[in-house]
Amino acid sequence: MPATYEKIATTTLSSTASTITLSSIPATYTDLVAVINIGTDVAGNMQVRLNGDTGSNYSTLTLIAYNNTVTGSGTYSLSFMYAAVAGALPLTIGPASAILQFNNYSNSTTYKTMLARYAAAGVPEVDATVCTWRNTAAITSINLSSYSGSVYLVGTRVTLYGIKAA
Amino acid sequence: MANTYQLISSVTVGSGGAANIEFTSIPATYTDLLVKLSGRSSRSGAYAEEFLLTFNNNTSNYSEQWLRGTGTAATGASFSGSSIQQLGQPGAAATANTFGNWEFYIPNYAGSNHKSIILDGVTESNSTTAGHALAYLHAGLWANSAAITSIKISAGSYLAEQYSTAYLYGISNA
Repeated sequence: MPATYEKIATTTLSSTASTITLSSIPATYTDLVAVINIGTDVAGNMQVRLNGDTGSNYSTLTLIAYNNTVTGSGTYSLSFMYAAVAGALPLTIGPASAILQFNNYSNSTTYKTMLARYAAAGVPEVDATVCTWRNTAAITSINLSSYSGSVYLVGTRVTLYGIKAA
Repeated sequence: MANTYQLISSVTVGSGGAANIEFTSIPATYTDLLVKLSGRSSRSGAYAEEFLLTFNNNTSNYSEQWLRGTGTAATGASFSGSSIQQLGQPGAAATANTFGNWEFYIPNYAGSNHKSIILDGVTESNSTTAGHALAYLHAGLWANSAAITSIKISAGSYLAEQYSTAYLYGISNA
């Protein structure tokens, strides 16, 4: 495989945290991919915000299989994007894995989208999600917040890769 | 530019087929693993047949939740047992020369936590009949704290047909 993936940042939690922020993302890549392996103390949704925007500028469309039942849902004008609905268990029981893709993240003319695949068999949950951030700014930071009242546990790891088309 | 994806090993099934595709002696020097699988099952009369995934020759503590599109419906189910199952590949009744395409992403495979896997794939049969072509997204869990040192993809009671391929990549975030 060509060397088109370059690590931008890795965060591995040495103490629990309710948010993980990947900041100072350079505009020098074509796309971004975040690889996530998380455990939480209380299962709940994973919320994603971009550039610190807490306004109601996000929408999420999700196809989810949760505990054997398949549903699709759309949520609009929220203050975050859902990367997962039901969440994860502790790392030593049932961690979750997710891959988030942000294509063409650094242009300043189009709204930004996120594609997410989320897998947490211990819950059990699997999601395919597409989200929109109604903002034309280049993405310079990504914030992952845990469900209200829960935290990401020690050992949770997030790695952000930049992908170059050239 | 850092080379974050490195090919560890690859397998191409030869004439006569193979019961299993295996990767052994996987080094612990990467951060994550990625498997790219293109398969076809020998099962007679079947449009789709499952391949099975196990680690370290261990046959316990697997579970999964899957989401599947059949062409007319989306369905979901969960399993627990001796392998991660439901990795559908075209069977012998599918259009000749069609193969499935799968990707398994395994973060933190060398750590001491339980292993959470993202699996997505398709079978294809060049058919508009529901169930002949399938799309999948799986959550897999191996509730074991051991580092993954080997991966076995089994064709179950059948064979992986000639020209089935699998590529194992190591991904390093260092």
